[in-house]
Amino acid sequence: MAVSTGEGPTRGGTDYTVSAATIRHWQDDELPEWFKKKRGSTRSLIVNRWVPRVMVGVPIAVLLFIVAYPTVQMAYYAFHDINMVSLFKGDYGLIGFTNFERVLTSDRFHGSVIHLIQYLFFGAVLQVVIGTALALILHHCVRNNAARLVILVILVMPMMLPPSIVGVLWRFLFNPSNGAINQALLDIGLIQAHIEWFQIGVSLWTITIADIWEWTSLPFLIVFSGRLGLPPSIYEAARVDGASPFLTLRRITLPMLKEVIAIAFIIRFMDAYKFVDKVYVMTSGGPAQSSELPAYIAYQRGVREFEIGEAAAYAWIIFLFAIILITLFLRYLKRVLRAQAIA
Amino acid sequence: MAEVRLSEVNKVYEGRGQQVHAVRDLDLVVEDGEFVSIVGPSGCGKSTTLRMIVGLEQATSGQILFDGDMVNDLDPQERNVAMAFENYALYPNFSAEENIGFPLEARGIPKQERRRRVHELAELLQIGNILHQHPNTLSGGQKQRVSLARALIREPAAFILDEVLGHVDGHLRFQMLFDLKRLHQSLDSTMIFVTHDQMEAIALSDRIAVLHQGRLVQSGTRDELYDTPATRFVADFIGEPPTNFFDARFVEEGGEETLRADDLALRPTAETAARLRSRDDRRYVVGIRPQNLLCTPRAGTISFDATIDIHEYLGERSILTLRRGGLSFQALASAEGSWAADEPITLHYRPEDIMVFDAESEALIA
Ligand SMILES: Nc1ncnc2c1ncn2[C@@H]1O[C@H](COP(=O)(O)OP(=O)(O)OP(=O)(O)O)[C@@H](O)[C@H]1O
Ligand SMILES: [Mg+2]
Repeated sequence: MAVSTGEGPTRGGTDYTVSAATIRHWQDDELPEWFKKKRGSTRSLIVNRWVPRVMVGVPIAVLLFIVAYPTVQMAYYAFHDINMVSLFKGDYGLIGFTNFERVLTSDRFHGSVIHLIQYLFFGAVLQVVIGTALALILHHCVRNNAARLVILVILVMPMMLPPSIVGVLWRFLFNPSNGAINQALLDIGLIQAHIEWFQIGVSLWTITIADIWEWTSLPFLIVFSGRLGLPPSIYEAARVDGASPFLTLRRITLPMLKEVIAIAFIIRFMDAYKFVDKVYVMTSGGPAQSSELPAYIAYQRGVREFEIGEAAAYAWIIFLFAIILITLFLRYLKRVLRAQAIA
Repeated sequence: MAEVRLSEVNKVYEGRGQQVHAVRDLDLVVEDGEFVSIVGPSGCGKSTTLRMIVGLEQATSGQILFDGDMVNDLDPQERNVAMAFENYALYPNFSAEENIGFPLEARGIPKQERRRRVHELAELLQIGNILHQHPNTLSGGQKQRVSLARALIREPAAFILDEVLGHVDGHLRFQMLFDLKRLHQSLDSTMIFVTHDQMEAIALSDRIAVLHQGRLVQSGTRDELYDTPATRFVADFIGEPPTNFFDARFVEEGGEETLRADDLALRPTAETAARLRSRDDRRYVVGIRPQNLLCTPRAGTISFDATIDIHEYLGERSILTLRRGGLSFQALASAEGSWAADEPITLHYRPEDIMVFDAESEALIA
């Protein structure tokens, strides 16, 4: 018996005429057990539609409780004339934007904004820049995986210390009269006299240095893992195409790490807004409020001085700024991703 | 353009305690301006060879010479060879145009000039309409052509093309084969082309090198490979449909010396018989190409009977799969004949067309 696959021979295509002896189907015992089982199974892979809803719903409920509720509560406080005294007496009233006005017009706030900007540029930005450079240098210069791991662990160590301990540590190191740093600088002859690390105009820099020491490894880690994720084959292509290492860095590595670096920025900027720990431990905002950041003032006003209304206004202002900045960042990220047709 | 010479090149990949000897004692010369194809089955070391020529992989031993100068220790940047990668390796953050222009950018060629040359080449490869797109949005065949264009845009010492037509559809592939050939002729460039499709190799190359398990089995023109394959492997690999092989014994039957495979007796030429007689071996592998199994007798042909198993109609011709006793083999037939499955057929062959290989080493004897 002959089996033909078509009506008749057609030009260009392949037409088979096959003898019956040649056609052979899979015998049942030739197929592996799991294969037959899978085919026989009618169990659906789709779970009950309530499962995903519950799984997403629980975290949302928790978040609503611990984030949304306090935020709303804080807004309520921000519009009320509320401090320790009025809280005890129970007679606080709605005062509109007075708290915001008080904050936004105060020199203390203006000063802290300048400090924040200084910290963002020389703290957060520098951390990302140094971290990125370190990550790319490590990736480029150290090829051995074990060596990479060792260096990685050492570089990441500062980040694993509690921030307040880091503050205490650096306060000792920077101690003007008997701190290790002054002593070292004197010994190698870089300076002739002790530097007063905690005087007006210097103390914020001192904090920034300590912060760079602690947090540079975060952008470093992020960028390093991003760099590991870039396909090696395009680097081979770049070498064959004759690109110098610098051109490769400028045209390929950095553009491809854009999103990752942006994420590192976002994380460090978010932290900058709530940067309190080292300010508190190292200088308490001083001397003469010269190293205060907005979040520290909010803490100071709210927790230490019980000016809850004003502290809430501070918090809201910081919150709004953070939202604006993060939104801009995310917009940028989205644009980049869309341009590359990833998202 | 340059002459590329590989001399006793070995490549051993070191894995976790495991060694892969990917290329063994490879000697290969690609003359200046020559088009050489490297063919072989998957995993035989084609890409590894190319990567050593380009400089992405260090040869474990042996020398790689461009125009007589040893380049073993040069970086890819310094070797000035252009390569199109098997896996495209396009820059994801660039548009197709930037991708193609990048080798020129690396050489500091101004933007206007770059644009002009990219557009010219894009026309040729029929990708002019996708130049603004990013690699993520391209189809496999489009990516492949962008990657090919990126290699072709330069004027290197040699072009190294690793399976650059694998994802292109048949019609366009034919066109591109033609364009590549034309480009090669007009540029007078040294080209090394890797493929596992022997038809591409045959269509394009001056010379074909067949690699098998890291070894160069044979290199030569298409006719050399076709008529005198060095080993059974080459005979199997070159030619479509593949050669029929039979395990045969060299015996004397009724005063005639024959090669007997089951109940098929093939008659070698007197010359071949003489050569086989002088050997101790009795066991051989006999090969005959489907093209050489004829359906009509010619002068000097010998015939035998078989039964048709499968009839594949390919438009211009038919491939018949036949059986005789326990043997199964293929023959090419003209499309005009009426072939039906399970019908008997008489086949004819010329004794000259019989290839005899050593059963152990599989090397060609006659
Ligand atoms: N980096 C590597 N490390 C270890 N082994 C490798 C490496 N690259 C290739 N090999 C091995 O070397 C052998 C040759 O590989 P190669 O890529 O050269 O094959 P190929 O001829 O190009 O095959 P294909 O036609 O599939 O592309 C294979 O056995 C492969 O497993
Ligand atoms: Mg390959």
